[in-house]
Amino acid sequence: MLPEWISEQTAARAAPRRRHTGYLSRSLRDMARVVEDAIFCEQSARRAGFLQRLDARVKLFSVLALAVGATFLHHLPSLLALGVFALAMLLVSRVGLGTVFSRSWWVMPAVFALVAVPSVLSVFVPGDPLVALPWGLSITRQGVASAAVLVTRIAAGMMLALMLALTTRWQELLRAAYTGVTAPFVLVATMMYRYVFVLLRVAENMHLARRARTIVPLDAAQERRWVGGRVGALFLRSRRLSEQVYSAMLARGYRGEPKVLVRHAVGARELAWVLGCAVFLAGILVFDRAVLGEMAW
Amino acid sequence: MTPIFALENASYRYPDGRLGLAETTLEVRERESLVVLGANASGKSTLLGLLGGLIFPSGGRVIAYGTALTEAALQDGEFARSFRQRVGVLLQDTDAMLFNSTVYDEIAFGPLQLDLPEDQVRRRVEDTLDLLGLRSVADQPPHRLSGGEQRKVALGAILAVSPEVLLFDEPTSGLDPRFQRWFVELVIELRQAGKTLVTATHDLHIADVIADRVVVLDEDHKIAAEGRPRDILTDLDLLLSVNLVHEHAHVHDGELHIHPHTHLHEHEHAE
Repeated sequence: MLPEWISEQTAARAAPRRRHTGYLSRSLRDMARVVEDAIFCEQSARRAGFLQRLDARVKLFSVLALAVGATFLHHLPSLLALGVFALAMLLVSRVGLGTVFSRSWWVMPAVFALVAVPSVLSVFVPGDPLVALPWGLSITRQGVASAAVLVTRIAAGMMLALMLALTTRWQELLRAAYTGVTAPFVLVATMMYRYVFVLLRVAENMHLARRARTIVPLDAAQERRWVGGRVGALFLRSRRLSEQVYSAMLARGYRGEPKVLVRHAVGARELAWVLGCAVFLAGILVFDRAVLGEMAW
Repeated sequence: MTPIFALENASYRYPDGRLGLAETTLEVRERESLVVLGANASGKSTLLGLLGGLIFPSGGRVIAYGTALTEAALQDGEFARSFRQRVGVLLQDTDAMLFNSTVYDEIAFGPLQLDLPEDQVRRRVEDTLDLLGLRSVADQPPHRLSGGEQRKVALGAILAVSPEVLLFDEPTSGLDPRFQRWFVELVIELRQAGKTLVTATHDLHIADVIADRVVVLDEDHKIAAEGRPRDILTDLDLLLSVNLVHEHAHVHDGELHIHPHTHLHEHEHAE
């Protein structure tokens, strides 16, 4: 028998004014963004582009080689060429300019503020003054050149990183790192990545369930209590899940030493890519040293 | 039929003292399909955990292939390896079952742990993908798949090891009728292939179709009945007492009727 009050209309109390406690929603929004971000990266990595088709291990190796090579470049045009090469490869691989810049623009203000702006001043890089500033300071020609090289180096490095991140799925990247020695670490990293999403989904559902039942906003103390409680619940959930995962591993023959199947497919495309990268790298190194090295920049 | 497993007064208590399974004596025979029926929290998963050597009894013994299943026995490399190869466990929680980054790796995990040569592992994975219709999602992360596909991947992960005994914990729970039908057809094929099956479920339909023998657990975590599926599934008083059917209230000819209710029914096959 249902209680009588269940068929009566309950008048909601007027909500009291509360101090804004949006940190919870913000945190959860950020969590959701992490998930979306990963999915977004996966989408571009799943497109049928040139770099996406390459074996992840070869791609990882070639990007690392290009990054190491970049440290030997000292001139703006060669660094620019490297950045343009990486950007062109991204565009050829059907990763749009919008995607590339949306994932890199936020670094640039920090780069300018921390690296470029100080290094153009005569106090850090003395030289021929271009613009006179108060207190005897000036912007020097050498300072501008060194700032341009620094910024271009960072931008080129970022393009190389995006070349890998936007065209390679995380699990492929991890698999690329599989060797006999790294297998346990890579397996743990793979599982961690996978279960972060499971727990983020649980946290998001907890928040949604609470929001669906919240009529009057909670005050800050209640919010904190709720968050503390949910953190505890999530911890217990993750512990239970870890025990179950371990059971599932045991049931499938795991005996303390993970064995994984390394699936690398190195074909003609990969060889051509490695050769192309090697030629390009050798070319810009020679250009940087032999041609630009003689010129004043 | 020879018993593969024997529970001898086996009981289990969780670390917090809660009873998971009361003293239970039971045999699982070679090549039979045993269905363990019980309401939620009646001890079905605990029973499967004991049979699968994932947890160990607090009292009594669990014998598998003539050896008592203890932590020490499963530390022994040779026995542990042979036991894990012979007994596969499908856990209820697919989030726990699927811990690899792709469907392919998930299915390859078991055969690899058994030290099978790489070409054999690959062949088993390919065959399993084809058997379960998972070829198109082989490179996808398992957690991005639908519930039914995830359960298929989890099943594939077990089947790829080719165990003699398959322990299924609520295999069709929360899944649609198409998956349930698919699962029943798979079980029929596995039985024809000579596998021993133990399925824990509260789904009476499945029990009716796949069981040679049914064991019913009550809400006190002990065996309430054991017998042939038809005898068990037509005993409405028994099913009502263990919370596997409910009392159905409806108005008929202006009068309120209350009686045990099950959706099991006979049906005619079209010729």
